[in-house]
Amino acid sequence: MLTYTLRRLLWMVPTLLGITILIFCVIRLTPGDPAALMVSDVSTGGVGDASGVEAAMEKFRERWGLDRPLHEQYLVWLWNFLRLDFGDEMMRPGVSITSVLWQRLGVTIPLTLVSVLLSYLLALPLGILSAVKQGTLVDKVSTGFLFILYSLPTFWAGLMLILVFGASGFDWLPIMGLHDKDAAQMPTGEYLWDMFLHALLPVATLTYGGLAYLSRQMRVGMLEIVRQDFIRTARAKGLPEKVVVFKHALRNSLIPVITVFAQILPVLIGGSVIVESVFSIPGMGLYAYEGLLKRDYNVVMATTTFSALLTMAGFLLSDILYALVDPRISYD
Amino acid sequence: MTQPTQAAADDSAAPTGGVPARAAGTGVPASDGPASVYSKDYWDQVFEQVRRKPTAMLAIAMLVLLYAVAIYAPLLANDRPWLMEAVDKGAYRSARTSLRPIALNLKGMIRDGQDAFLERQAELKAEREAAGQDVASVVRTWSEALASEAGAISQRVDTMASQMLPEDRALLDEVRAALEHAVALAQAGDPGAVEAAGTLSDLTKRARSELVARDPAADGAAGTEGIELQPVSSRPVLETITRAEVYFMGLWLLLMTWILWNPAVNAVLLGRDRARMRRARRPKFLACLLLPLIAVLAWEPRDASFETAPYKAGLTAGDIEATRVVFVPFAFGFAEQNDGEYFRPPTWHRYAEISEEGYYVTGPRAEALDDLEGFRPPANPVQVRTGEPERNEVMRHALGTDSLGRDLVARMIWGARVSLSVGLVSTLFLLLIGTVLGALAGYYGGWVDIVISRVIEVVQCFPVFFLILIVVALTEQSGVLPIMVIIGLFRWPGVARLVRGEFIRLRGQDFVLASRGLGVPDSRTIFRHVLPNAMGPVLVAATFAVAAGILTESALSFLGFGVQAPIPSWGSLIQESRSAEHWWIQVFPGLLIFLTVVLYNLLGEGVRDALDPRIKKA
Repeated sequence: MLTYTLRRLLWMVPTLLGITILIFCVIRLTPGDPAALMVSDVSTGGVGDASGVEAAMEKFRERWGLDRPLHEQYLVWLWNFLRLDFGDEMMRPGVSITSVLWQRLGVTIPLTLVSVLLSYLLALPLGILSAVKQGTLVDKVSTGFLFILYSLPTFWAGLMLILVFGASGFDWLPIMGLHDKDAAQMPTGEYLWDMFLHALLPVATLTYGGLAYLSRQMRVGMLEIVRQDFIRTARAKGLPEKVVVFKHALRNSLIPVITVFAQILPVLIGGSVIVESVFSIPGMGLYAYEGLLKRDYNVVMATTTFSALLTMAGFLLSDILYALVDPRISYD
Repeated sequence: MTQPTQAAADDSAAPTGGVPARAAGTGVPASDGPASVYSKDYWDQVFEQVRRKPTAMLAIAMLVLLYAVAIYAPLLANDRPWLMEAVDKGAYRSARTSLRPIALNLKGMIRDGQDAFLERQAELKAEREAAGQDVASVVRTWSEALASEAGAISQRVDTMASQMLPEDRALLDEVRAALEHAVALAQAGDPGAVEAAGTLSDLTKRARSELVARDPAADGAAGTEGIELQPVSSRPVLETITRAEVYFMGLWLLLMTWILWNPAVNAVLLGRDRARMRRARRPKFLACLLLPLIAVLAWEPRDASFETAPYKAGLTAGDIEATRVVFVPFAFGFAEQNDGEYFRPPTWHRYAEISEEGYYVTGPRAEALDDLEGFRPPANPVQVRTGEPERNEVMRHALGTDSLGRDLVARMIWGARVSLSVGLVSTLFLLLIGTVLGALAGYYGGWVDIVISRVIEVVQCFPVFFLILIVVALTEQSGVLPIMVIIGLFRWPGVARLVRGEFIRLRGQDFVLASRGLGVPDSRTIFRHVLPNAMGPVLVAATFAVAAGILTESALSFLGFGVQAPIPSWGSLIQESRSAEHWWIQVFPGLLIFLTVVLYNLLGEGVRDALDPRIKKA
């Protein structure tokens, strides 16, 4: 197991290198020029004549090493990355990306974890119920409902939640950000309640897709197990249905569901861009989105690398869990 | 066609439920003798199973309809009339008055001669190059330049002549003859060309003063004298239809009428013989693909260089006097703006009501009017143009308008083209990459498999949507095709793994060994024998991939990085406004995306259950 984990960790290195090189090349070889964008911002503030603009652009390129050869730029970036230093934001010099990123991750990671946890907590009972009551009204309703959730576009679901809960004239729930504007003065209890209310809609938007997918997987897995010989044996020897379902069937059908974790995580991380921009939540997704809009190479590189790291961590975790729950699987 | 097949084996071991082990595409011909019994092949079984699922059939029917809407969009929503019988006074007038300037230009060109012309063009080119402008339109040869001037003149002459009585056309015929003469001489380098061009320009001068149209509405001389114009019948919508559109329209017509002509073909041509019907599958499919080509060849695309022609404006202003106008069901173009109607709610909504003067009666925008106490807001009042429904009719903007007053229904109809094709084409790309790589890895095994499997593992760890978003945003893609390619480039590993697994399962089977033993080249074994047997699961994955592609594109467009205006896609329509006040912009296009994804998922589930009935039964 340990050697397997180590090997997987080693495999993360080429994967990460691949992703970063790809993004690096895409960023640096595409026509847009952040220097021009930057200077156009500045020139409205004063620098008038053409030579001044040219000089400013030159200075900007030199400041960020954009005038150096591509491989050199990448190696410099890689070296800085190994020291977890992503440099400053290009458009706001002096603001260290690393510190902003930690702060943003502090929003995105809890949101993601909560929604993963919620999906599992809700999906497993739903899936089991649906499988045990296969063919009944309960099964049909829940399957149909999950099917609808499964096909719902994330951004649209978020917008519709905002329309219904935030803007229908009732103002049931807050729809912007994670805190009220004067949350800083609130006592702890009120502060947490406020955050809870703010998080409800975004978490719901993040959760429903994974929930639907998981629950369908759970149902299918459960149905497959129920047909196996050992279940028939368990029933034949007169075990109560509860024991058959929860002790014999459930344990075995849980195994494939765990790997689903690895499939949900990248979707959630991609989804965080959408959800955070719909609900204006200052997380990593919104940071990446803003970076893209401003063509801030450093921010884009940093957020991409982190989302890749998170995705890979999810894959690794699910593989290890897989081996842990199923003693038949050995990676060595 | 030598297709090793397992159908023979399946004959004895008759399937008991669902689809049996896969038999290869074209099975054993049943013409062995009268005793032979038809054995259903793989696709027979699949069709049968899918046909049994009402939801899957419903999904297929609805998807066919959706694609029909996308393909026939120009015939459904257009600001051009479908049929128009009219006197176009405006077009006549502008043709009449612009004849002479062009003729003078031609005359000047001929007088200065070829060398002077080429010299001037070279200067112009250098000038444009220095300014960094496009030079493609400048570099022209002498004969091309002459032809383009002559074309401009004869086009105007045609416009005029088509609306005139034959007896009035004598002068125009003279113009035509003079033009032909002058150009022919100039092409040949004959010095007489100058004189001929002089004659031409004199004739156009006469045409301008003598061929004034009679205008009964005007007072004085213009009311009684002049040429009597004749209404011309035209089909302005068809003028914009390109050859590609004709092909898809024809193809779709054949597919939509499949349920009508397929039984007839089976009964009349094939005598309901199932084995012959099976063999006819491929020819039928090819016929569907090839027959529309005939229509394409017969179609002569006309000049559609400008997308929004001012037909409605002309009709409203009276420049076009129509005796008969028929508009398409939704008389709005996808890029047609109406300044007064920006962000108008759906016309059935109470806030959409508009007074005689063209201002809102109730709702927040009417209140905004009141706040200004007598001041009219800078916005223009709503204008109703000819051909459009009345200002408060439901069909006028049944689903509202966007920030520029463009009709949402029209934009959704045209947007279907982008959204639906992105899903389909991106799936084709990922199928291509995934199938080839998966087939190589699965068939050859060994180091090929190791390398490809590692690549699959690496790509699978990508945060896919994030990467697609970044690549599309940073390369500033605004076209449809690059977005399709990028989606395909990141989404192939799932299919590759599937195909690889199927190949590993199949490569040891007898028919593959037989094929290899016979010395059939690997490429043929892979693509003709193994691949068709591995297509089932791939088909299911592809159906879900189309849904995923549509979702990805809509999310990209929603974030503002997808297809750029004025071309609509369902996602970019939503992006027009995120304000809750403009709820209709968010609700309706999103509903359409949702519906399409539901249909594809239903279809995918139907096909999956048909291929693998284990789960459904039980």
